[in-house]
Amino acid sequence: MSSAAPPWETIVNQVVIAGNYHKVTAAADQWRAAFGQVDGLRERLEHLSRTSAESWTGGGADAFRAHVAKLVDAVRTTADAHRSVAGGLDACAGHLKEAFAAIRVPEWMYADIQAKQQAVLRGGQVAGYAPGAFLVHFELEYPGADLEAARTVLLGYEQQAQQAYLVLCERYRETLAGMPKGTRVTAPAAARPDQAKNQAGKAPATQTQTPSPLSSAQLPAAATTPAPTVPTTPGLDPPTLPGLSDPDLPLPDPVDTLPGGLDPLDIDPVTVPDTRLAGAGGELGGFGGAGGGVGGGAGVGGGVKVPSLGAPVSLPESITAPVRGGAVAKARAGASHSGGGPAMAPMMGGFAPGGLQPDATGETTTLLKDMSNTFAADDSVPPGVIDI
Amino acid sequence: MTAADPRTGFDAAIRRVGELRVDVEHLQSFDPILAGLGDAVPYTRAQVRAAYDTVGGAGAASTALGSAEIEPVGHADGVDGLSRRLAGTRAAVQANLADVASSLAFTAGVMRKVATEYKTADERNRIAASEIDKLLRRRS
Repeated sequence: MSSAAPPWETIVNQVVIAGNYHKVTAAADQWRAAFGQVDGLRERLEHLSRTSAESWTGGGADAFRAHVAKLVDAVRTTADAHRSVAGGLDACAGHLKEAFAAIRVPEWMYADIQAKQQAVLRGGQVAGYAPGAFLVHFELEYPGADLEAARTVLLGYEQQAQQAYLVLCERYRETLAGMPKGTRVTAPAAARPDQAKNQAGKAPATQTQTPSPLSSAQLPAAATTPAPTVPTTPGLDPPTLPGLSDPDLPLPDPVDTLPGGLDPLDIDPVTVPDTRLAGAGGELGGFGGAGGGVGGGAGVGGGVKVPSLGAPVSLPESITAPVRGGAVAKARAGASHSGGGPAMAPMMGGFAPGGLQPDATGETTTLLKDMSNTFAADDSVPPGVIDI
Repeated sequence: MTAADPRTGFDAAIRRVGELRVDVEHLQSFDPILAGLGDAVPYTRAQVRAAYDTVGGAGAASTALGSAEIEPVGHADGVDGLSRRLAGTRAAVQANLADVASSLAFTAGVMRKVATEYKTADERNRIAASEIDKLLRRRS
């Protein structure tokens, strides 16, 4: 089973660092809120139709209500055909959380992995770990340790991670089967995108007694109207021209300037507030200092936190202690963790950089001698790669 | 929470239409009711976008579900993964809502015209179905 799964480090890259079950749960809540709004819209339309029937009668009134009924059907179908996405995401969050618990990470990598998780949450790009990197870091952290014994023990944790990975994939696949694919429902008398421009002078303007900020831009043709009046959250708007980088934002012309690959129907005819993560949960993340772009109330730092790692993998003293000579173990007691180290440290002539830590007596010669025997370069593998 | 929030913005838009009378004597109120409901739709679309963006868009190297390299998550062309399903759902819902908003706006305009042209309750109750159908038929 584990033969089909990637190496431990790759699993940590793909699941533990990239994944965030808090975000998935938050997204499920946001989808539910969206469909709650759609339901509210439908109820209002039904109320309009129902109450109008109490006094407005005749063929014209019936025709109006038949039209509203079609609109109600379109709204209802939109919600009913897609609301399972929220439950699917909830299920995925549960699967992901279980995987997090089962995919253990080495204690000497813990801080570095957490830092990468936080970088991902802030929207940054992180370098993943190359296969074998955990053992390389182990060598750096515990110079002189019993590498073969460590390799054997770590292999067990790798297999455990691989098992968890395969279970996650299987459960994701099961959940995928119940996820909606996207159903288009056409509302009656809705303008098609290719009609949007033509409707500019034809569609009647709306006048509300209590005008909302968006009402003047309600019609699709009004997408050319400048000056959206809904305040947007500072720092969250894309710096480029609206619409060109975000399919939800309006384009200067919704038809002629559509960039390749974008569905014109996904472009809002009006400017809407950019609230990508607004309401994404009440748990406060640990990134208050992320700046105005992502640290604001509606941003990433305001709502979602980094998921917890599983229990760290610690190797016994019998493995981490030097194979020969006690000096290194004493020196290691004063050495700092290499949490922020490179993903792949090159093996240089049989000793690890940073391993030249003086012991309590200031001796370093023992370390060089011992490690030159223990960590001899293996010409059969590329530099820096340990085949486990 | 500000007025720009999709939830409070939607609620405020819906509230604005809640107090309007709906009867044959107040047919002119159908226009602001329908238009007001249409005003609420962009907030729902913003909510959908927020939901989609929280997990991460198709085309990105990773999503909150994990890396796109995880096979059931993957979003490569031709691969039916979770990421692709989410993108499809988002696109369909957004398009449907855009249609609904467009339809509401158009219907509001029609009702404004009806209320203007037919002043009394008697006139309004005598409107032929064909007349309303004709007005509600959007020319292509």
